[in-house]
Amino acid sequence: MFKLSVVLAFANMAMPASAHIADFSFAPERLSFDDLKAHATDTLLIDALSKEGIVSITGIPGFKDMSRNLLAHLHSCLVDMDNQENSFTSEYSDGTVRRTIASVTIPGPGGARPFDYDEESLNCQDFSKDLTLFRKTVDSATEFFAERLTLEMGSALTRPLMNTKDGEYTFDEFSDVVR
Amino acid sequence: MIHKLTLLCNLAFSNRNGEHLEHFHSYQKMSENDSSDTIEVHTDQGLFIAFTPALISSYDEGTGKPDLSNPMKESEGFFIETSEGKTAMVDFSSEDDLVFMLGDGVNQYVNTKLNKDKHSLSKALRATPHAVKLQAHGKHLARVWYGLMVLPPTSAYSEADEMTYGEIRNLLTRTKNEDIPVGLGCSSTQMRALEGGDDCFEQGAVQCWHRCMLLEDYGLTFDMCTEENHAVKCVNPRDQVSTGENHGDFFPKCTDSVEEVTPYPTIPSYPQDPEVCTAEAFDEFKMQGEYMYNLNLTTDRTNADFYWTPNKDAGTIKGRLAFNGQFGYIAFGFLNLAEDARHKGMNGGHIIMATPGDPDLYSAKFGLDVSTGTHINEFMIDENGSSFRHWYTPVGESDATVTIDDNECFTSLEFEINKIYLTDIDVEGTNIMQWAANPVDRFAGYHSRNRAYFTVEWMTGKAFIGREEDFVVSDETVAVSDETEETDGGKEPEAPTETSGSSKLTTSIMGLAIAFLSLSHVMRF
Repeated sequence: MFKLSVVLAFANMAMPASAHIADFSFAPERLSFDDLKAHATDTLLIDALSKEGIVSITGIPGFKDMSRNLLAHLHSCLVDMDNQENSFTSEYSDGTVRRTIASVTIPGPGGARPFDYDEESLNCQDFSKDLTLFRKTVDSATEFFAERLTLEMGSALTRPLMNTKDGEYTFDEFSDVVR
Repeated sequence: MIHKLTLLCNLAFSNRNGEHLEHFHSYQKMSENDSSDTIEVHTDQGLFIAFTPALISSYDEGTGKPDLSNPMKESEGFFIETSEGKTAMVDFSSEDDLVFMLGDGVNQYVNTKLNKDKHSLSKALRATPHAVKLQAHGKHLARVWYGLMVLPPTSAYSEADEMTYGEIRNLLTRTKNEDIPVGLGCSSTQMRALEGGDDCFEQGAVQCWHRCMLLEDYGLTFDMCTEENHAVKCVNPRDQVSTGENHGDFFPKCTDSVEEVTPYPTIPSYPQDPEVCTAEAFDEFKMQGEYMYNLNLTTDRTNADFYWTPNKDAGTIKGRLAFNGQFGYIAFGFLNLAEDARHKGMNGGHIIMATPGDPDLYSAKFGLDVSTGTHINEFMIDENGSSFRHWYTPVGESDATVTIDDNECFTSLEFEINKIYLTDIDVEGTNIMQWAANPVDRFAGYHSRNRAYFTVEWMTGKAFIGREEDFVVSDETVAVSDETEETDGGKEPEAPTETSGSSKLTTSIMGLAIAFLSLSHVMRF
């Protein structure tokens, strides 16, 4: 759903043609976490994803405090890790410097590989306090998202969505591809 | 400068061979250079990304600590191109949002699979082109962000690219940007490119079963294997070496084996003779014996029936599982209802399993020794390891019998039980059961699609594939009378039935049931 409040101030900023000038601001459709989990008959999710491809989930229990506490300490932690092998620093053409710490979650037990932060850094210790719970929360929300979208898709998709090269295994549904 | 600059089709910053990539980023822009976007317009190549809207955090340069007295606020500078072709700055007004944004993966393997009717096509998903443009700010500020990108399974095959997505990612990671074929791994030939990243080795892992398997999880190190003059390889229990892209029972091992992966040797008479093993012959086979009720377990991938007669006084069930397939193994039992049970409850389940060899002499390398004859025992499927090699030791004997027709076409398992191992039959209530069979080999390694879990109300004959919570009432819901939908001994339902107190049924219950059956595509006994 568009928010039609035009961001004139931003649009009027002097920027070359290659840079982005917003025509207006846009607020993604928002869906509560309870609604996401509910086995409802509506198609709120697919409506949003068909229209613009973006949707915002709100009201995930504990998520606000958890994410804010964690993100508040992120930059300090990453600065502590400057020049360490387990952090990445990049510089964009506009001069922006990006510091990154990355990990991967793979299927199965112990699938969420730990972030390789500096355990001796007090800032990283603060950063990591809720990290495991945060990742589990995101993972759980992601699974609900995939399952809800699978249900809303209903019989619109042919099966399987994907398969292995030898055809032995198939990924029949959207949620099969995600999990 | 960024290595391999992200162009239009941005796979991921750090490609680690896993399906879900997670990143925490901190951006700082101190220069006034506004000549270009920070991150140009692109569409992520993954299926979607879940991310927290970026926040501006304060930082005390003196102490190196976050300045928590200065509350974080939402960052501006994230843009999308709307479906109307306009540029919009995204306003994440909520403080607790987790945003899901679709990537080019939906164009590659979701939208291409939509049925061609109008209703289905209306559900086409949109990958969101987006860009980031940051404004200069003081050194004490940083834009902080988290994202989780979901990529297609590495073992899934891209017909357009004629390689697996894992191969595509490896190729993209190892290939110079200018040498990457246009359109590789993307829905459009106008899209390509990604940034490079780590590989398994740097994580102390090897690529195995489409993931980076940590050696330490298997009691190994690279040094250990080197000292033994072996190499670390991804192998199956038969010591056959995988490139890491094979699905199945693979794990890291110190070995010198160079044997390539081959399928399990099949049952000598495999496959069925279609001239002999006809549908009519199976109908005749499965109908043997008298039972009160029947649940048709047939899907588009397998053909089986379950028959039963409850005995309320004795507290027992007389049952027969008939399977249109040869005898590699056949199993029936309880689903594990623990909340954290793996593979939808397959793991940890208590089952009866008939094997064409003594399970105590089972070898994952050589399979079941058929010279030891058919054995039927009770087992508890390992709570974590799905492969039979993890749980081949029986937990009890079973009085069940196995019947194989004269032409070695079909298999059935008959039993009269009040419990399996530690789980009791609730004759007057409902149980959630599971079955599986392998008609191909005698290694008990897989069941492919010859399996399901299903719900049975023993005394009433009500039954359906799946569990009640699997089914939801959608806008396609219709009411179907109990008379036409409930299973009983005299009918063979064409589709699984929903038989709770509610009369609401979905028209696509079969489809949904199959969908849920498919959730754990690597389930295996």
